[in-house]
Amino acid sequence: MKRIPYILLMLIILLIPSCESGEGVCTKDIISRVNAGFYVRDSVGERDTLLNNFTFSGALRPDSLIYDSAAGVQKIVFPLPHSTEAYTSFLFSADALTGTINIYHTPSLVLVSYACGFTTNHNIYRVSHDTLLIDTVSIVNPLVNLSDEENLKIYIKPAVADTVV
Amino acid sequence: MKRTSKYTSSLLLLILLFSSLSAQQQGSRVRGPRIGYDLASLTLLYFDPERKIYTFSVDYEAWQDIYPVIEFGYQNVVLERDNYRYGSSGIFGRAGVDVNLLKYEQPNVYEMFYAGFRYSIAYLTHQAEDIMIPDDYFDGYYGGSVMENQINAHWISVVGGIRVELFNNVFMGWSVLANLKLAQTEDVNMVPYNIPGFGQGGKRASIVFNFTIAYRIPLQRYNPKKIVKKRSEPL
Repeated sequence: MKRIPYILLMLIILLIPSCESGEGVCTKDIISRVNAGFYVRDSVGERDTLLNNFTFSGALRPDSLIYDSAAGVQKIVFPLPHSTEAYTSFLFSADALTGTINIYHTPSLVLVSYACGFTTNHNIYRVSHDTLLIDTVSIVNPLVNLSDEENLKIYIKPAVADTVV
Repeated sequence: MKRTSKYTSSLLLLILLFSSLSAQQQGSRVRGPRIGYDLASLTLLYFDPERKIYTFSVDYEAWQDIYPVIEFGYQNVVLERDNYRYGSSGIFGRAGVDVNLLKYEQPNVYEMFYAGFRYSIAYLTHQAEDIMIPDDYFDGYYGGSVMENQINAHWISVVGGIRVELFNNVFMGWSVLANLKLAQTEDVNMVPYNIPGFGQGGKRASIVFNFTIAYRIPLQRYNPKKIVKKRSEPL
């Protein structure tokens, strides 16, 4: 009879579910995007700059604009393709000036969570560009993932910045 | 036929031996290896049917109230989702000691309220395939995979539980393990869904419940050194 409390206690424990799963529901946007900012570097120093009438698209998707005649753009956010092509080209224009920027990147599949599934992170290892609008591009954080951390600093030519800002 | 009767007579002999051990006077205590199976994993059939785990344990009262324990198990996980398929399988082992905290008044009482510790190690492989990433700008990504990776983990645990003898040599009991992970192989592509014997792969600490049914093979009798004297009845 003394065992009954023990046995009852043991049966109660069977009712405790094995609450280990808990995947939850995915509420995240799972596309990794490049975060880039526009800057000017001159004799005064380095400062943010804004571009007006700014248009931006993938070179292979000129009909599908990521930015369309946007005003006061200092920061841009854009995706990279999941394929393993060596680089991806983007076309852009600010007022009447146009340019191209090529981003060399290595994609890798990474699990976001078991609820959301996978995303593609990218490692940017090189950036090339034409020199009409852009002075230089600096890779400040090569890893493109779901964070908002800035990856590229795009330095606009000071003379051009005076005309397009 | 001859072979069958030989086995039957051997089995009868063993049963007689065990029965005679059980029937002996109550001044001594039975011991032998106790082999258990964790029934708590059966609840996964309802709560987490994509994960299957089988856990066995062996303990032995090496010294009075002190039970060295080994536990081992196998786990298999298959997750079928719209945007990926994940698979994992692995094994784990735990070794440690349980100490019975109950003071009994008679030597042949085997109820336990115990505490103990474990050191555990697990090994698993996992992989993912049929990965899809929808993308509204560039074309979505279809059919990707993450190749099989091997993961090792080890952790320490404190354990507490109770155990009762339901029938002669048949025991049932539950235990709770509080685990603290010491190290785990890093995988840059994905954390394991579940580490066998530990729990969610991305966590540093976890709690695991076991509900064990066990059978003790009564191999030996011994006279315990410490017995709490029965309290005298009040006048």
